[in-house]
Amino acid sequence: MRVACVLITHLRAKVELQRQPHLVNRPVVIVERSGSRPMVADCLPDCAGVTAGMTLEEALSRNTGTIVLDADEPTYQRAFRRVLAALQGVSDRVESVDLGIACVRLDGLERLYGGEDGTLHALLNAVPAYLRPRIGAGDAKFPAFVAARTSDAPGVTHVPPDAAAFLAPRSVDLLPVDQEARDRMHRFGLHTMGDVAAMRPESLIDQFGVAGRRAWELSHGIDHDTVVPLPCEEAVVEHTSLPFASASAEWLLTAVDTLLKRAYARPRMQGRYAGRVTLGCALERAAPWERAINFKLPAGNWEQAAALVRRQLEREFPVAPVEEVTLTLSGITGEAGVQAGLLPDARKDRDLRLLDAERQIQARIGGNHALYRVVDVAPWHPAPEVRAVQVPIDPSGRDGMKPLAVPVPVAVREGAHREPVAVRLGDQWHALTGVEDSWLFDLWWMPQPVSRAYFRVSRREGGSIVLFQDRTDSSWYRQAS
Amino acid sequence: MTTDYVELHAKSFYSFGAGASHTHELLAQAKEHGHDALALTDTNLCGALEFARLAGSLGVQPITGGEITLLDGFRIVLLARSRQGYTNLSRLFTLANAVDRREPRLDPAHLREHADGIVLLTGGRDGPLAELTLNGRHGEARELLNDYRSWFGSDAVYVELQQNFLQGDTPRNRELARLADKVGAPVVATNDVHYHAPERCRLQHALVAARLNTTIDRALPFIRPNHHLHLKSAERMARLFRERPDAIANTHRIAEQCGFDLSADLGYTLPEPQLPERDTAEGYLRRLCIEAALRRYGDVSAQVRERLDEEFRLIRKHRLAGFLLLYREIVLLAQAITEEKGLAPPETPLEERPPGRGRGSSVALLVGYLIGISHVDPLRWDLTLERFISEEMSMLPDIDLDFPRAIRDELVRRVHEHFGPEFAVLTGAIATYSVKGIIQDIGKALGLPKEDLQLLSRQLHSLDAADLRSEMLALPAFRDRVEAPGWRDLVALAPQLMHAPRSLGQHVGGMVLSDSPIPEMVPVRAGAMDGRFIMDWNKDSVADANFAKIDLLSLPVLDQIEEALDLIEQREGERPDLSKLDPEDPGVYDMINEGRSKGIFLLQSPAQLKMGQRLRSRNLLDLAYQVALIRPGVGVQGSAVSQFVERYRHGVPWDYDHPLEKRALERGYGIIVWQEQVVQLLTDVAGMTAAEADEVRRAFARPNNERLIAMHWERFREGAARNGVSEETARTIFAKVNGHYMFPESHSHAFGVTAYQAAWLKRYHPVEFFTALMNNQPMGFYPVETLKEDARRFGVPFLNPDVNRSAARCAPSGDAVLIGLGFVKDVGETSADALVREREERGPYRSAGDLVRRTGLKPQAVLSLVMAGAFDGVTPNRREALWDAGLGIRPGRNGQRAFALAGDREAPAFVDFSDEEKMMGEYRVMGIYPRGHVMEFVRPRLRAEVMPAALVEAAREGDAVTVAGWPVARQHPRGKSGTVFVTVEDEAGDVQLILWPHVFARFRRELDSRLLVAHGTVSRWDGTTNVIVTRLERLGTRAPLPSAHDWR
Repeated sequence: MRVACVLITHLRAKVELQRQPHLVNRPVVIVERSGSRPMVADCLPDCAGVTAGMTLEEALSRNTGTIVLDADEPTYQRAFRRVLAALQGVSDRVESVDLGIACVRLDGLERLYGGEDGTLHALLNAVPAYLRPRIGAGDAKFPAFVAARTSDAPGVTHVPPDAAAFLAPRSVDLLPVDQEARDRMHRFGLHTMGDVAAMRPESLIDQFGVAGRRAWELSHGIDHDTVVPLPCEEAVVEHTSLPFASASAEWLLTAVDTLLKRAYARPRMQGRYAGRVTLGCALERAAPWERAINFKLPAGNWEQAAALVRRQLEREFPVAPVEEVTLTLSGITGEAGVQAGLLPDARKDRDLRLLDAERQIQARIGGNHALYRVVDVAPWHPAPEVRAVQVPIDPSGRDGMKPLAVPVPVAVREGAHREPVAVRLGDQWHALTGVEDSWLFDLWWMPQPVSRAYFRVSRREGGSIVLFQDRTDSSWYRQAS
Repeated sequence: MTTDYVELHAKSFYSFGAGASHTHELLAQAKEHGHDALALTDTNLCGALEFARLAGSLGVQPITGGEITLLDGFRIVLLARSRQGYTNLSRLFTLANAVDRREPRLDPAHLREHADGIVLLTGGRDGPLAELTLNGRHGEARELLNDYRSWFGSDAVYVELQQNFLQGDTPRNRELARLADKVGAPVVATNDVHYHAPERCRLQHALVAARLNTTIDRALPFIRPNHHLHLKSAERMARLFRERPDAIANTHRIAEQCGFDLSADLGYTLPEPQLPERDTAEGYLRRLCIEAALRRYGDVSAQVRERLDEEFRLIRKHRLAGFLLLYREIVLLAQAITEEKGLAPPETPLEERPPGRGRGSSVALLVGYLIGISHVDPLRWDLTLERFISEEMSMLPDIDLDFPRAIRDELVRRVHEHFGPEFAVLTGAIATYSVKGIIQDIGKALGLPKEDLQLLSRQLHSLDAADLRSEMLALPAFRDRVEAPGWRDLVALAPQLMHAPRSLGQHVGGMVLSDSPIPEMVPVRAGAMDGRFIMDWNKDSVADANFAKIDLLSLPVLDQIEEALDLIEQREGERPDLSKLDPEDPGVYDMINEGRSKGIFLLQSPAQLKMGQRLRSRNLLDLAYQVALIRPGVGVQGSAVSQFVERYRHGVPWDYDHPLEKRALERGYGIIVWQEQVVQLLTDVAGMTAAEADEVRRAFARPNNERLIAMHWERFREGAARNGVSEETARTIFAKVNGHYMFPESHSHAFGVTAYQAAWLKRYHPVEFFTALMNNQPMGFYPVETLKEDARRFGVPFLNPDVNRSAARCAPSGDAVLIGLGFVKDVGETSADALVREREERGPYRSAGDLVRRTGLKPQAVLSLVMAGAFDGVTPNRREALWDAGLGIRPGRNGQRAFALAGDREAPAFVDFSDEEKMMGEYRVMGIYPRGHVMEFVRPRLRAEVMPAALVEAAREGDAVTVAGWPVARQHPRGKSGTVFVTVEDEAGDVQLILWPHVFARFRRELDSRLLVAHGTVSRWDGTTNVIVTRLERLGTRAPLPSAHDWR
């Protein structure tokens, strides 16, 4: 078996440099914050003495002026998926080993690319140049991986015929056995694969069990693992931007419901089931948030999927206000046996009737949404336009959620105490006879602070209206109710 | 100026997570507004007494009240009109606490039976009436209001109106006023005060979120999102309620109704002790003393009789017999526990082996010694009575009882049981915000990443929140965030919250015993630990209320002393009687005065080591001064410590700033050494009462106290002027007052005795002293490595643990200390006991594998034992021992043995770890390297100019020197702006570095280094030698040295 290992070291750092070129030659560390302590996930070359796996605190003590970036794992994963897709264009037998490491089966491609070197160069060229890939080629995955590690970037290194001799001076830290076993090897003075290869295999098995056998075999260049090709996966992706960034759970859940409805309404999802939902959120003042939710039993409609997602979100919620939501259905399968309900589902019937009515109206008025459902997402919020949203009844349309009670700018004449005494509605000024009530709020902690002074005022013509002054720029608005 | 408005609904920080001002800030604001009175209506009574006393001292009428949450979540406000009303208020809080100790809820059914003497306000927007009227349930609202009026009285129920410019305030007030008019009930205006000034609103919002453990965004439903919940002036309130002037006028009417003053007597009395039939407390106490004296001295000599007569005269005068017998009852309970636990032989007379030790006044009482509440024979130690119990004493004497850790928890439970849970209650403790707590709570509320907040906390040098901005600017990871959203707010809010009350906890052991039910005097709730009950008041309020607090404390040095005595008894067959030691043993004082008192209670800090050399103590009085001088409250008085030494030891003449200072300052040679002196000084110079003076002393310790201090200064200045003291002199005297901690005089004498006893053990029984010191870690000042080095200098080497010789704990081995197996990381006490048991039952271990097969010890623990050298006796090559341990198959859970392994059992030949690797391994698993010091491995890399620390002693004043070593202790006695003292240790000894503030500011990051090189000049002063540092360098090492403490 001939195998190529495609290795992209520092993939996270390279992706960050690609999108933020001004960071070149700066001491940048990329930090993963999902654990109890922030850990370095990657770093740029100018961070002397910093390595992945180090705590942020330790990394900072090594360099002054370090720039800390929060890891954006969804972006890195997307970048690597694109690399895998490109490699699949060269060979259909591509295995994703880890972020930045892929193995490709080379056998049978010689005639396509004019020999193994041609195949290897095709692989090298398939990877975007900014990622500077290294390729190792050998008779098994592990020696090919070690060869890739020793290769120049970009470049190709072949494992020589005596794989054991090639591996002998390399550190045991390259062995794919658990960290504890590697630590113990060091403790016994077994620092290189040559040290391990020199041991009797029985001794290693006695001491390390399965890991000992594997370490001994790999140190001799023996690796029976085959390349497991990537499965071909279908996915349905939906996206929406929220009208306002919000930390309200109800708001996110409403967005998820809307996206699920829309995804399941797609023709290709008719009669099909999804085994996984991946929820990605762009957050205000925080790194993107992404969670994959695997269903025990695939969900065949949006309600089932929504219930499972809701359960997950009750356990874990984004840490900052959400601005955008992306939802991906994957693990899509054909219909399995489904037990029909014994009793008719009245709510479903009502929804279907509503949908039917909506489509009829749309047909008459020219394809625009006509029916919306009002959902209370933050009824306690002091700003009325954030309290509820309207969600289209028809999920197939492109319209997202819309805010309600949106304030309208108005011209106001102020009295001696900054209270409104006249308001222009349309082309006419209307005198106001008095302030019935007034209240204030100041959401000072928001990235764009909101500070308003409200007045319920009587009109000379009768009735009252609600106006507010935005205290950040003194502009006036009429608050729809 | 007096006004017609009184705020009747105000919360302080004591409403934990709801209020955002100190009680003194509210009072100062009320005073500025000219309010005659102010009600504190927190969600508990934690701050009630402090508020009442403080208000009294500022001339504001305090109204005691509380906001109680009902079962359905609505809130009402209750104000005490009378003593009975206060009793009911306290009972109601206790009943609410019984429902949920964290989120108290009151069943409204209890209101009826506890309504007497209380004014009820209906709770404004949070009250049940508001909910009913706004939902159109007017009939139910009328019914509820009528119920309240029938229970509390029609003149004691007010419909509360609030106008805070929140949406809905106006219509609600209109509805509530209509309801009140219909029923004929009066209305009252309040401002639902949550902070004293508008600028505190942001902090209040953040605190609400912190209480809910979430961000402000998520807590928005519970936040009042504007700045109008502050204490407003009468004029503003009158304008807000111009349509209902009666609502304003009624505030004054209520204030007149609520004349109850909590700071006056609560009618507390001590419970009666258990007495034999037909005996009096004094008679019984005297009989117990005579019986014990006969056992202790063989007869009752004239000296003993005279002393007892004098003490009983004072006991009779101050009616203390019952009080002392109560202490004895507690000590008897402790004795029963020690016997049950096998810690003391049964039926030992109490005075012979007291289970606890007295601290404070009991130490000077022969009676205390004879009834077992003190371990010190005052005749032997020549302790005069007048320093502890004076003729004029107005309060109960201050006696603490220290018990070994092993029995204290059980003792607390037994005391509850013995006296009853309503009559024996633990004192509360108010946890206050530190800068790290602020970063954690407020940072989270502001939505800042938790890991960043933890990182910032860990990297802070200054512990003052006011320095947060400069600290962040100095840290690479944070310097760009100082102005970033969220972080900017954290920097702004942090100083406002520093030292503010954060939560109610439990005092370490302060217990109040009472003859009448405590819940009638202060609310009580269940503690976090089963079977414990705590009160809302902390130790200061308990003292202010004149409650007798008995402190059942745990002092690690007592465990150390007891264990050392046990070890001496095991070795020599006789247990030294510490109560009979010669109190002026020159050998003991020589050791202290040579700066060789590391590991000794209260005498071991670098500052104390130097103080010993300067003060040159020769007796217990000297020692009492010595322990008292190195306290924060003395240290902050400029050069007070040096002045004291010059006057006391060298006879330098001095004078008072005014003759009125004489009584207060005479004992301190013109210096304030003990906290009682502060009170005495204020009393004598400005004619304050003791309570007022104590309030001033505490005011200095309060955060954000500028306005408060200014007010107290005015009162002091006026009082001093009345006594003929000029303003200039008064200012000089007032500047001597500070609120930092100082010992009470009696405590410094008692501690001096304990310190002397520990020193005696170190001087004459160093092996047992160091063994017990190791076994009672963590305690004291230094890493264990430093103590090991000190032991070496006392001729006591430490030996690596040995699986076939070591016990679970450290133990003497000839003239050495053999490290115990439990001392090794990952082994733990239980496993260590199991290892020793197995060895005793089935013989020594033959190898590491043998140990694993026999005991099933977890791999990490075996690794640690190997790295600690515990197998060196059976397998000298540690790598081979490790290999062998890895081959050992642990027995199954059912004890079944595993199959033999397939491979050969010959261990491969390994080269052993180098000495340096062994050193690093031993530091990692034990924190010490028994055979040497890390600097032995570093020294060869150093330049020739770097001299061993011990040689600095021989250098001349002003010599330039360079030393290198491990900084084992850093002291910041004057806080952020003061000099820093660093003790650096190498393989030959240690040396004290002095960093002036500008040097510290420049090199403070270098101080974090595990090892460092210091350049400086030698300073010799008053018998001490130090290095004045000019430059520091980091020195690299891979050795995992334990981190040294920062002492501030």
